Amino acid sequence: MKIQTKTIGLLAACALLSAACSRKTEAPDELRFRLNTDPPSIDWTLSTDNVSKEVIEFLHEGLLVHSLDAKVNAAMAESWEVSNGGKTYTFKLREGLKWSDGQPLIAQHFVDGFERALNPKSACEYAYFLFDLVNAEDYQGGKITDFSKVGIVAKDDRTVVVNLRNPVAFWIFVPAFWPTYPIRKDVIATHGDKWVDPGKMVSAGLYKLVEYQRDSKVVLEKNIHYWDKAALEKMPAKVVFRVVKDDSTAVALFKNGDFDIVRDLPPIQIQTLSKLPGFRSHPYLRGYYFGFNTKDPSVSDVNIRRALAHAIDRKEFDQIFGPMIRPSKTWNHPALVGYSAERGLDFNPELARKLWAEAKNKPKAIEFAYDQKEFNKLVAENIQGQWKRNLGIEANLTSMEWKVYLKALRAKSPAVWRMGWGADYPDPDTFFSLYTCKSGNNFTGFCSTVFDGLIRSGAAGQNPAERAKAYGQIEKILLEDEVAIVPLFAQTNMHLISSRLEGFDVNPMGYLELKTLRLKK
Amino acid sequence: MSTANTTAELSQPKSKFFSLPKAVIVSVLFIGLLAFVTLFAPILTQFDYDSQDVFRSFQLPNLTHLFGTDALGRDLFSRLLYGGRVSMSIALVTALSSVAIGICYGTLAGYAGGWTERVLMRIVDILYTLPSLIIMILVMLVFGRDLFGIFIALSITGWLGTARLMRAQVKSWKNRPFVEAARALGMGPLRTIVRHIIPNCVGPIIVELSYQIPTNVLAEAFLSFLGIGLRPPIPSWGILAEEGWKTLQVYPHLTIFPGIAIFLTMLAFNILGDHLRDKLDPVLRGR
Repeated sequence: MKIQTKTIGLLAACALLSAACSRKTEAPDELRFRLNTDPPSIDWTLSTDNVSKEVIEFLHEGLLVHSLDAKVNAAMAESWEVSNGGKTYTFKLREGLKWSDGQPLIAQHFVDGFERALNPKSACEYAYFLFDLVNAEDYQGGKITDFSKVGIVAKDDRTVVVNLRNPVAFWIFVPAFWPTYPIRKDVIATHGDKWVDPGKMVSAGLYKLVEYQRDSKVVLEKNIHYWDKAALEKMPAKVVFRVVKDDSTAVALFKNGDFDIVRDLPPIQIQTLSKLPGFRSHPYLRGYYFGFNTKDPSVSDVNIRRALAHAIDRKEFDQIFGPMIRPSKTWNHPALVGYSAERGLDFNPELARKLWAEAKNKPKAIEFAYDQKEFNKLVAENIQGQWKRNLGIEANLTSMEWKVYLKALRAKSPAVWRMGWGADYPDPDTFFSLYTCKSGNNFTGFCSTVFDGLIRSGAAGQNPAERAKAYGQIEKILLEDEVAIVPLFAQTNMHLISSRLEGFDVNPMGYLELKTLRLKK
Repeated sequence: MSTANTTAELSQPKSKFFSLPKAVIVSVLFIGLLAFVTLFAPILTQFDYDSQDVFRSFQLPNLTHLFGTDALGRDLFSRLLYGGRVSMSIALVTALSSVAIGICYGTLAGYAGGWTERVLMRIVDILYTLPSLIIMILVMLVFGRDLFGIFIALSITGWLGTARLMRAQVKSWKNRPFVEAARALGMGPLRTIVRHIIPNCVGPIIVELSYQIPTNVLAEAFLSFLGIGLRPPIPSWGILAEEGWKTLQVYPHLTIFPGIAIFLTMLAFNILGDHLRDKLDPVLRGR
């Protein structure tokens, strides 16, 4: 009897053990992807953030797609040509394109997408992105209501023709950008704002939306109607995005085998994490800065802003964050046209103190806002410390949840706020056109016709030397004359990937190379 | 008379201190030490709580930095002492204010009796059913993330127990002959309460206070740990623990020291509270 109990116990233990083991080895055929917050909007026409982007890129596709070497590849367009001195783009769609509900995808759907982005009613923040199209700005501003006058037309079901008002040096990257992705007006008309819900959303990318639990997870399944069936076949059957807000928790889950891709690694663990075999670091066209609300009384004096900028020693960020960043006082990136290491305000505590001493209407304390992330908190606390050390000024830190933070910046930005910007296309225009008067992402209160004019001429320029000169001037105005923003560093793009994931690669703009992703069986 | 007894208990001759249980002696000494180091933190520490030296971040405990340094190279020992200041002052002030609120409310209910009592105590019952954490978070949102906000948030949720206790106490005292005598001599209700009832409740109040302090230390730590406590760079024990635990696997000292501080403080106050209850509670004392 005794032996029997023992045997049963042993068997039970074995069963438990093997159950536990098999749970580990039988990882499902799904790519498990960490998101650090609930995607603010997966409605691609209206989405602006790089968390939603991760989901959107799996769901949908545009005419073109970003390539690994920071150029573009054909996507839904099989070919394209530029004519009329760089003002006309003609895209030829692939044959037999279909939406995830099996309906044919035609050129008019692209035109509808542009219309929705430019429609004043949709309040798309990236609308300014399409202002290069003939009459697009007037349509968005409500000056004309007839969209047929805007420079985009579906010549037939497989041809999209775009007419620009001026030649734009980097326009070729625009059709690879998510607000230009095609839409289905009928779907949006039927469901209204709810069209992005699972079961209602219709997309045409590699995957389709099957489940979405707010603040928890997003589940995508293969879209059998996708045109590149050969590529799709080798990819994972499902993609599961799970929202894990805390970076350390995400890493712990990764180590436990619960994630295949983890982005946003906890800064204070980076030295240890960078030694893991799954650690990947890629160059990133992504700048981190703090901006001023130049209209806020506490920092409306440009010399106060200048003093605050000169009081920041960027070497400290290098110490704190190591491989995660590259300190930079310029807002342009070394890889892009017009870059000059001279630009920007460097660390100069004496000058900072002098400017500070001379300034009138000095504030008692500076309000500094950031969105609730460990990384941002460390940066904010460090800046707070440096200002105290170098200028003797206190900073009041306020942190907010990301969505609340964006709302606050849009409503009335605090005196000082932090922000990052990832390039949407590899050209300095993406970094500088943010601060034009009409940009929906300009929280500085800075608005200058001279600056806007320079931006336009820089964008139109076909001659690289002239463009370089224009961006030099633009950067000088923004960083040195007006001190609207103070760049701190460029970020690197770091991921942890599981050992079963193969073919992982990221473009300098942070676009994942999707079609090479494989899960080892 | 009980009043005499209570005061006699309280003013024990000093020589009797060492005849107390060892745990109590150690607790009292620890609380004394805590009061000393937090009061004299500026003298005892070499560094400011917010002075950064990023070139010396994440140092393990050593001679210069007794408890090591954090991600921004701030001295953990200094932050712990200053954090103790913040945590203890929050705990003390909120304990005092919530006990004060509780005394007023409970006494009013107990002394008035009838409908007033029923209504007042049902309100307490209702408030008891609400989760205090959610109320604290809401209050913090309204009053902001500063010391005042925390005081309000903790005081607002901390007085319910005291109110119930005081009501029961007052009810048991208010019909005693000496209170009736006072009333018969023409004393007004306020004077009766202040002169004759409350002095008899000093024992339970002190016990309540000694339990409120550690509860509030923990509540503050809890709020800070959730990331809704004080704004940086002000340290408190909860904030230190919150900052530390993310690197628990790599730099455990950042969590262990604040953890020990919270743990020992809670323990000391609880031992002291238990002892005071045993000594001051008339029912328990009889055993």
